[in-house]
Amino acid sequence: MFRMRYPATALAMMLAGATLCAQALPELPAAQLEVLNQQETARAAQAAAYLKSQASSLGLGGDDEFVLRHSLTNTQGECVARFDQIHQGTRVQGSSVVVKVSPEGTMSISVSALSKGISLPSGQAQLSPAQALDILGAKLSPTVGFGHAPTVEPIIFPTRLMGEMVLAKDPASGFFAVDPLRSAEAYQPLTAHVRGYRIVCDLLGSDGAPNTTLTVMMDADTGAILDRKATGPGIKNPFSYAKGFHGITGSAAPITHASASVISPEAAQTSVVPGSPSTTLIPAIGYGRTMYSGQMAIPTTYDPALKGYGLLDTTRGSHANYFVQDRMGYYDQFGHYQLNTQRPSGNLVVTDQADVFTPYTMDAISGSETPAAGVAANLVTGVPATTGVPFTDNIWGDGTDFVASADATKAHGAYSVSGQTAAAEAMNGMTNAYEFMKYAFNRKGLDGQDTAMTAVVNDRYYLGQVIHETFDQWRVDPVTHLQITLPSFRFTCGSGLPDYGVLSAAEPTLIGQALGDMLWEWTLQGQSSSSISEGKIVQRGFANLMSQAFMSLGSLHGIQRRVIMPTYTIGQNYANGGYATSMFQPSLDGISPDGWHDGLSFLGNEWPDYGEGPMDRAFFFMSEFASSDSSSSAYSEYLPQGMTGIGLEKTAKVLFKALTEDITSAEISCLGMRVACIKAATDLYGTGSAEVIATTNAFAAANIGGAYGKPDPVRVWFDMKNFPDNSDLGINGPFEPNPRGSRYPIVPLGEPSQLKVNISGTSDTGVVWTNNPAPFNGSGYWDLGGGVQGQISPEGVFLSPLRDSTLNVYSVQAKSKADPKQWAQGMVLVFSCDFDGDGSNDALDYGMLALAYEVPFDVYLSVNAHLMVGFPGIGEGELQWNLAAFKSAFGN
Amino acid sequence: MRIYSILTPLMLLVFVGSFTGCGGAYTPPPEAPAATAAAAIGLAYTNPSTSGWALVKDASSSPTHLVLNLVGPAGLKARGVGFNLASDGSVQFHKYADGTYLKDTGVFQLKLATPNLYSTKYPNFYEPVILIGGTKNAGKLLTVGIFQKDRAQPAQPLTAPLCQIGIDFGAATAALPSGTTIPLNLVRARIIPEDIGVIPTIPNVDWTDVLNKFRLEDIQISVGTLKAQ
Repeated sequence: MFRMRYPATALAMMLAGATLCAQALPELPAAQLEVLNQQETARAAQAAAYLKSQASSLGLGGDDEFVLRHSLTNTQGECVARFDQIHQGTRVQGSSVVVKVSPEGTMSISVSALSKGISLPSGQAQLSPAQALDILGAKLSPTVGFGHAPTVEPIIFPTRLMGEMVLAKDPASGFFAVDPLRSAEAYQPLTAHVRGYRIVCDLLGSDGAPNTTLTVMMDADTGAILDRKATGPGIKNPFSYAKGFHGITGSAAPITHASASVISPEAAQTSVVPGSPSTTLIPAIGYGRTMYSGQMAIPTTYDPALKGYGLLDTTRGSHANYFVQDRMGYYDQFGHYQLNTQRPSGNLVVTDQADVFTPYTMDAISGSETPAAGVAANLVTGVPATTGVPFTDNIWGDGTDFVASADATKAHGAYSVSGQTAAAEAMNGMTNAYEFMKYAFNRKGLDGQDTAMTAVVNDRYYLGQVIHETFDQWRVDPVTHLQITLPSFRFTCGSGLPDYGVLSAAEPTLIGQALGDMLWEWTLQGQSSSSISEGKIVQRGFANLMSQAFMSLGSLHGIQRRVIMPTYTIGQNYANGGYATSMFQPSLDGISPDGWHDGLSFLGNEWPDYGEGPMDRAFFFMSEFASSDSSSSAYSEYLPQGMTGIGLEKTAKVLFKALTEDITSAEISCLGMRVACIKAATDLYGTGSAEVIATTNAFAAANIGGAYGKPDPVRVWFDMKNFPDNSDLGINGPFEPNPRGSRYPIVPLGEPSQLKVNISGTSDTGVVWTNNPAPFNGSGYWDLGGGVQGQISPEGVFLSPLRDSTLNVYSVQAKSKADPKQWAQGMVLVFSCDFDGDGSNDALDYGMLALAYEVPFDVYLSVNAHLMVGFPGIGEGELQWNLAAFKSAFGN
Repeated sequence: MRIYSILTPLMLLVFVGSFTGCGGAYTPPPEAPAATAAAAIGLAYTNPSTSGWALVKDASSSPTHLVLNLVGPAGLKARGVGFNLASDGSVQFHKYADGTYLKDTGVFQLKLATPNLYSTKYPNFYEPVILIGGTKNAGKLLTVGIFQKDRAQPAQPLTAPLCQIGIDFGAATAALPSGTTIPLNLVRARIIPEDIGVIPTIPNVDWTDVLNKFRLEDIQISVGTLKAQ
């Protein structure tokens, strides 16, 4: 049924006619899907054969082949098989293709991003994997220990994917410097592809525990680091809590819905599921009393041997995840660590009190695991473990916030009744996600392989936030040499921060967001999102929409049978009733933009929770509506006439189909996501359908592409020629499939520099330049002038203020004269290389830098303080960036 | 204001001048040719007559692409050199295919004398070198430098070509009458001298010798005459 809102739509529909709408593929009955599911392996093999036959037409040669990454059977019965490109037996990074096999056996390529005409500088890698690790270890100096054994996967690396320089501000000195864990080296291979290694390792923190996952792309001939990414708690984001601490008090009320019909929670069973086998663990239904979602039924397990219940769901997640096996392993009698492969599989809730992951199950006292002393000390009445008192009532939580305390006498151990509150919420979140995946996508679990999820609750490190780990370990397949990622599907919910008015992070939208993130990351595994792309923005928008679907539709179609209306807000764990993100009007937080503009990746990569604004809004519009009332929080100046949405379920289906069938790269842009979603909507509902029109208009309302039937709006984006020749910081404009976002135009200190910008969609290419601050100015992370802005003429001649710090970044903005709604926001990195202190930045200064090479920092500063400018330091890395920055500032 | 406080007034003068469109002129305007001269079709360079540091024409030069070698005086050694060369915009300083503005002739040893562990083990190990160049003032000022970074590398004799730069005949040159003299002025040049002190050996931590010699030396480079022809 189409909901046509305005004449243009109706006309379009009439013109389109029924034949176009006939392109929509119907969803198949469950029984038919089950048959096709069972044929999936064989059909994926057909897809592989088909792909091989198409290699020539795809521009590939005899050295190219494909390896299946994963497959699924969608609700239309198509087998969707995702393949990695292999060249001379080695995977090509960022090169994949998706093939679809219809129920009738017709095959087609859904989307491809392949590397053609690969010509490598060497017949084989000059460095062995062991040597690559050797070099990486040296470059991590001062030496940081590895956690799990690093894995080294040989790859072909397209040099267009080169990483870039990421600046970090040292909070102690206040100086900017190159972030050693997130920056590539200033090195540009001369060929389009090189042999490389993809190295993944866990770095140990100061406490000896793995705290940073480092992914490095290394040139396998030279040892140069081509790209580097780091994730995990070791990467400090100073604004992790910014939203909560700032006490968001959004003034717009959440969307009003019809009142929900909620079943009585008492209707939930608190007994063993009838008919279950009695010899092993028995599936049961428990009774959860949560703080955010009220009281509900949750899946649990009964252990007849111990006569107690646990927060383990053996009916969901039949494949154990690696996290449970590894982190809950044990030392054998020889002192060797062993994976715990005996643990029953299923979605599981644990806590990590005293740094020991201990489940809310009976086997904590069964002898297979021994709680640490710290855990035992926190055990209180009603909690098993050392007391031997089992969870006998199958009632979980009391609906009150859990406050961590080391004082056992206060009855606030993680296993206490209030400690169970978050545990019940987490089980509910996993269950809802599982049920929605099954209902909407005919999929078992996040990966379709029924791999279990694990929730860690009441965590004392990630206070007020939820983090996730999609993968816990990597292995290199000895046959294919591909890096195999072993999913953990683990999310960790921090305890609250009572002093800051922040409650437990075990909140349904935050849990859903983490699960949505993992769904995205698992699907695009093997890819990496460049820190200068909009990939993280798109991912987080996707995750937020899925969060709404999990919470609302997962509850409705799962074991709850309960209507929970989507709020389109994320993170409601604030005692003041506020929330972190409002998808309908992201700017309510005072920072997030409501519409797309060039430069969004600056924001999105440092703080995805802010940069995601336009994607959040697009998906809200798509699901619900855009108002034509300019006073509404759902009004968009980019689509003033408003629009009608297609509902949460259809929106989620479009997004999931776009992710699984139409996206190949984690570096996808907002515009790329628009293309993928329109294609997915077309496949699902037909060309010119109301759903396609709504999808198009929803993106347009977030300033991502034109409205349906309308041309693209004016676009302003920075000229990438401002970037260093040898860093490949920006090779595409925003209309390319995988644009690399603006990063730092590097200009010399105190010398006028002509900035450049591109503009399209209008004959009036004029722009007005200003030094208007970025939306996120004032946050303190980026100096952005610290209240002092660079001087810029309306024609774009930039002159930095003279300041006494080493590196500074300043805001610049170019706004279209033809359409002032369209603008590009950038940052200029002001660079000084006046190492000899003569008042001029020139190549002669590098003589002074050469003199300082290998002389200790404090020694040469004692005689020449001018060496503090530029990228201070004596290492090869600093030298590289000082050379690259000069080239950028003076080489164009 | 540790660094810039004493520089600010001077720099501001330069910046304001540049910002208002009157900066960047290091030389007087070209000498006016005879009114009847034909348009230029090439470049002609006459080497300086003085000995010592000089920019001399390389045999590989063509009428539209002048190649200049930097040579130094006999009997002197150095560890690197950089210079700024100004023109008036009527010629283009050549940018090489690798993106640099000067070419290494191999005299200076830019890499580590004793390759570090990884350079030894892996011959292709990437090692940055200080071979740097660019233009300022809308292309009117060439600034280049080539420096040995490793103190363990010996200072080099200077009589062989130390590096090359290129000057291209461009559209602005073609607009000049043949015979026009194109200004080409050496603004500043500095070297790392031979004696830069000795890094103390452990456990000796007396850096006095290094610090006393932690400086660059100014030099004068002679430049020949450049004409459009």
